[in-house]
Amino acid sequence: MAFLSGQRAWLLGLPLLLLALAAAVTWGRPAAARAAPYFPKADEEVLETLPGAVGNSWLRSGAEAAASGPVDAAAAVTRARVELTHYQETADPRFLGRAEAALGSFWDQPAPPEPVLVLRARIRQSNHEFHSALGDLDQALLMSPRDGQALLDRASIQTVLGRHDAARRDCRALEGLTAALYVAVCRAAIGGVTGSARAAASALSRALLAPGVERQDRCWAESLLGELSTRLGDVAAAEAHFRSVLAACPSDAYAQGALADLLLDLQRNAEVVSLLSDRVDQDALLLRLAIAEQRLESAAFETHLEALRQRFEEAHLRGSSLHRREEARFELAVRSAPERALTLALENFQVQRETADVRIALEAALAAGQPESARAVRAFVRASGLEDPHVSRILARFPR
Amino acid sequence: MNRALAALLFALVLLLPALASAHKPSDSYLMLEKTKAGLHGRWDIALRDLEPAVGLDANHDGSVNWGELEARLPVVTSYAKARLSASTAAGACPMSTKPQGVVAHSDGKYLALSLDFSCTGDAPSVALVYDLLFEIDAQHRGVLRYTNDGQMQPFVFGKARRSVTLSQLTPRFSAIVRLGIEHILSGYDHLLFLTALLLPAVLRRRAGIWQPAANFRTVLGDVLRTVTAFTLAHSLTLALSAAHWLVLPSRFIESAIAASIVLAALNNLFPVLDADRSLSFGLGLLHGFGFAAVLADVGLSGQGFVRTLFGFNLGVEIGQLAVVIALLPVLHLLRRSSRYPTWGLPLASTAVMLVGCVWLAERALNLKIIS
Repeated sequence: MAFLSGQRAWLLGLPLLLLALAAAVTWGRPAAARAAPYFPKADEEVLETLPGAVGNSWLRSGAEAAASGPVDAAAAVTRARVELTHYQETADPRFLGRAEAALGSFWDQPAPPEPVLVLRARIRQSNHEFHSALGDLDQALLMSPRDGQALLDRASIQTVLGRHDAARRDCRALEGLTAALYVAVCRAAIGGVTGSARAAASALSRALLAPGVERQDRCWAESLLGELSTRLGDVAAAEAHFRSVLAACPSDAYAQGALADLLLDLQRNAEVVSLLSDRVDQDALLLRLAIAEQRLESAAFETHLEALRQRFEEAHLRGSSLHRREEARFELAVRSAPERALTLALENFQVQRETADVRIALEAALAAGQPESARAVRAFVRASGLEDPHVSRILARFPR
Repeated sequence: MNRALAALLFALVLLLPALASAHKPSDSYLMLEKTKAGLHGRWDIALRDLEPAVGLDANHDGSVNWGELEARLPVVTSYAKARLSASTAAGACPMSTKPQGVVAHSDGKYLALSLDFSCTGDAPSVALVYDLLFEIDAQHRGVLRYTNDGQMQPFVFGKARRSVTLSQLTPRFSAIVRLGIEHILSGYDHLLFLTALLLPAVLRRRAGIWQPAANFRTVLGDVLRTVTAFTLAHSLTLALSAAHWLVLPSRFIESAIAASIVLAALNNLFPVLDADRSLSFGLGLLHGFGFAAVLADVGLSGQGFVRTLFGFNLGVEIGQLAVVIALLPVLHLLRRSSRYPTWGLPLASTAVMLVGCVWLAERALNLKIIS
């Protein structure tokens, strides 16, 4: 047989032709998708917008102060508090790093002054280093057992970790040490995840009636009320609470996320898009936006999918596992990769045990066809008495 | 529209603030590769991080434009230069750096700086010390990707991890060969394609029907020709693709490889092409691009390119040869079976074709049918 047998030779040409066509299309493009640096042509081309609410003069002064050498603990704490406030307002993690830097050498001390301990715990908690944060607060409370802030923070970490008895003890100790609203929030947060959401909601509503509640505190407490209403299955009340929070505190990322979840569960996807279309700066909110856009088959979905993929990849590159819950949800809801989602969700459950952590772990276990892998999660739900219509619905689908 | 108005509108568009960027912790990105003279690469630092460090926003309007950045480039460059150093046992490696422009990452624009360290002597390792921004942002990280002769070594600098020792030694040749062997043995699509080509090797086509080959020596000759043609073809495209002379989108290649399995199996059922050479050469071209993707993952650098390419290809051929040797006794037995031409070959080819079809659908349409 000849190498090319007669008229059949053209068949060999077919793959070659395909190759040539594809080569013509892709010729000259760089192999890596990574963007190449360029020199802008116009001086006026805006390259970066600095955090607006804060102002760049402040950005610089903080840095100058940091470079100017050692300061006393009180000055360091004051500067770190300013940075932490900016973090809470913007949810921009760079402010957390700046707060840590502001504490300077106090950060690495095994036994720094009590106010440093409380701040360090806050920063560590925000970085999801819950156990070292607890250590700091234990130490602070040994030094000043009546520090209401430290008790409140410790209760909230214990709640996240699913240690409900310890959290309840701290709330009880808080009585009389801080504003009545804070005590009510502390109790409602635990009541909500341990089977007494209704009592918690009515106590919290009563506390909110007290005069002189500050705007930030009201937003915080009413978000929790919205969450309790969701647990009790009262969708209309929950939506009203979240909308009222957003009227008073329009950029409250927590309330935006909670409202988006509520709307996603109700398949009101278009409303999620209008709620979140300008919040692509926040990974957690961008994720919810992308889920809605995927369901609506919106044109913006591909861009947002790529952005999310890049952000999770960058987080992995720097060695961060801060967003395992979001990443698990991304893998399950957006990428339809239940096995990967399950691995992430179970890792996350080892660290955090809030309702959202429970829910994603259960959903991923079912979707991956490995219900037995969520045994510990189900045991946790049983032991805590967690009420949540979605969690109950998912649990009902588990084989007996 | 009058021209002045149009110009004004254009200027306004340029002045619009950049699109809202992501909130992300502070990272800089270092990409370095070993060269004969030392280290070469690029360093991307966020403008958002340079602002508090050296001050970029000269007019305090809350944004940084190119004019403002350009004016501060000398200051920025010397600021960065003072915060990164490399040294070997022979002493410090002098560093030169130049702005390469701006580049976008997920949270906004970064300044790209070129990096060149010239290290004297033939030291086995070089130490890199990184000290950027920690006093301003304690959570800052320097994300390093260091490539040495096709091997990538990642590292993350942090406040408590400010130095790293990079190996200057080139990876052992055997490690590259092993990578090639592992790839072919775990690449089921390549093996299935080869199997489809070899299934009819024990038969001869006479008067439109398959007949057993006269003796095992002719079978061996057929197998040898098929494997050689496949090897020549994929070596050619592997080299072209690894050198970035011809780069094809991976989804297209993955789909085309699946299609090649379908075609090879179809050709066994309805022969039009000479399976042992033309088919294995033509379709084998596609498989070379698939191999190249693996090398790209490892990061094939300019230095030692030929050595790495040769080693990897050698590994692929060794793995392939092992598979062929394992198949030979089976083929030998099949030659004597009278049912093989009428039943065995069509059934096996149909099975291979079905798997190829599933892969083709999965890859071309981005579905998941079999996990």
